[in-house]
Amino acid sequence: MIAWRNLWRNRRRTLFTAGSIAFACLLLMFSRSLQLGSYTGMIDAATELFSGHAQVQHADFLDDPRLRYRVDNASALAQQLAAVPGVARVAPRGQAFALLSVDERGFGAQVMGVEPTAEQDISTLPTALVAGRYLQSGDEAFIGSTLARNLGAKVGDELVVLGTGPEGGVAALALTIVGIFETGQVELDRGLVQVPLDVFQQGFYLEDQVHQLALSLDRVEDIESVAAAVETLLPQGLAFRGWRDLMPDVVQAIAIDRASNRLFYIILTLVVLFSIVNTFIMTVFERTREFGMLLAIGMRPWRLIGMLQLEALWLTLLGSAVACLLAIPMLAWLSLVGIPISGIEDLLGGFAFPSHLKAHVSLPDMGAIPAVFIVGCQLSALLPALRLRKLDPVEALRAD
Amino acid sequence: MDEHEHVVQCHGLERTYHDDGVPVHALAGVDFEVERGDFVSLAGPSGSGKSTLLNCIGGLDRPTAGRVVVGGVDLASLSPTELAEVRLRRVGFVFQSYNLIPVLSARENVEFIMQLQGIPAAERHRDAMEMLDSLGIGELADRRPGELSGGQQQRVAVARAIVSKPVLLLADEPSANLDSHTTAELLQLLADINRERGMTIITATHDPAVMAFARRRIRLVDGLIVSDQRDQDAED
Repeated sequence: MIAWRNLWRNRRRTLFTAGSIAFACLLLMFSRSLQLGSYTGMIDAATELFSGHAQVQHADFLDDPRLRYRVDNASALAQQLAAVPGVARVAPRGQAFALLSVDERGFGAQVMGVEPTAEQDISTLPTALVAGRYLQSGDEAFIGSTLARNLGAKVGDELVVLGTGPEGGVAALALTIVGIFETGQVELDRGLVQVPLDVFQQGFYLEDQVHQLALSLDRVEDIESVAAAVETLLPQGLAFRGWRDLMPDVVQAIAIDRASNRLFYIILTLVVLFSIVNTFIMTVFERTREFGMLLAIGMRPWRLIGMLQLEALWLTLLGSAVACLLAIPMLAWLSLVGIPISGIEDLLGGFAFPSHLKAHVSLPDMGAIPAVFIVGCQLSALLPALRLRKLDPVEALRAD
Repeated sequence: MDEHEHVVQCHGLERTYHDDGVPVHALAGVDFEVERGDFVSLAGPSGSGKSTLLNCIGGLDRPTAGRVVVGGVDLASLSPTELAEVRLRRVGFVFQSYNLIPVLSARENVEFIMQLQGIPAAERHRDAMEMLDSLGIGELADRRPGELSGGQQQRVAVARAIVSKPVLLLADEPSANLDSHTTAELLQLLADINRERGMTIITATHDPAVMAFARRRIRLVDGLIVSDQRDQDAED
């Protein structure tokens, strides 16, 4: 009680200090939630665009994507994977590098065989079309916009694919361009062409064989448990690859962002904690005579220190409570509606990003922020409070 | 006389400060004893050593040489924690500037020392109210120090000092901030406490009015007792 009342001796200073704590807590809660929201958005957008949340591949395919590193009995395995709890959808894909040509022009690119229906369920690439339509069946091709421009191709043109089969034979396909896509990601727009999977398998001498089984999960957060379940189903030689394995550039971008944000959080927290130290230096200075009186009548120094620590605790709880009360409605709005961020893709170096940046509220993080301030403020108040251990009551009673 | 019949015994008490390396002898060898129930004033000019003597008796300051025994306890042998315990349970303090806690009411100020002593809330609440009533300020119990006059604050300070029944009440210039009328009321209050409760009081003062109320007047000059007078009627 006395600690709480002491806080209001200097109402303006208490409000200012509690306001600083509230502001810093609120800023950290927003920053952290938007940071996590941006990661979730980035991961979702990137995985939904093309890779899926995870893939089953030959164990060597990720590092060395050769035609011969393939998944056999793909249809049966795809059915098994679709039944794993947490797996929403499965899309089989064949993959090979080949020379593409339209009329006189030729370019190297990645040819990917896909099941059009499954692909539309797992990937947003089919919706990124800028001309024509997506694949249906037969000898059709869906190519990136930059590749089409380089080839001088348009919808309706004939595309010739020349590659090498697994045994060294010539793989040749004659396709009709039915659609052109543009994702904003250079390597896809410049280097990818999709064809129906059966056409691809026939052309590249594959039977019920693919190079990836792309998986979409119900919740990307469950990837560890899904991985454990999937790995029990895989024959030797196959491997489960999560989005972190498939998109190391996204992982790296997140790691860099985390590091820079951590520095910002530390600086902001230290600024507030310095103001707490200052507040309690002033408190000890202004109340020296009172502390001298309390020591004179027999109060122990550690009990005086405890009283100041309690004042710091009330101060932090007050600031944190204000921050939480303001944060709840604001973060709820940011989680549901988000901030429009169209055009930010250019700033993010071509990373796919949703149109709205939404907050992702992590309850452990939201609890950790006030906890950090509570512990930090206790330590900050302790620095000046420890001076009371050596306070001479006679000298203190003479203080002005 | 048996040692334990004296509330305070000072023998060869010396206290030397160093001011920029120059030794200052605040007490230069003080010997005196105070009997239980006595009312003693320590008088003398500024720098005579009366406040230093009071602080040594109260366990707030340690003598450079000599002994101070309070209620049979030799303070020189005590650790800082044990000295704090003596101040908490055996000695009551009244300060010149009242030194009440501004955020607590009069009753809470009186209760505070009992809280430090670990007395249960109901008991200390009852005792505090009884003490304030007995000093004639029960109706001011819920007021904070800022809402009280100087005389009323000093009465609350006296209540705080004696509520836990210490063996000794020390008052350092208790009337310095009071007008003559309020000083007279305070002195009458101290005299009543001394007479009715048998509480031993030692006060350091410049004020002739305070000296007049004391039954024994010790005068210090340059850290030495130069006179020690006791009222004749008290002797009788």
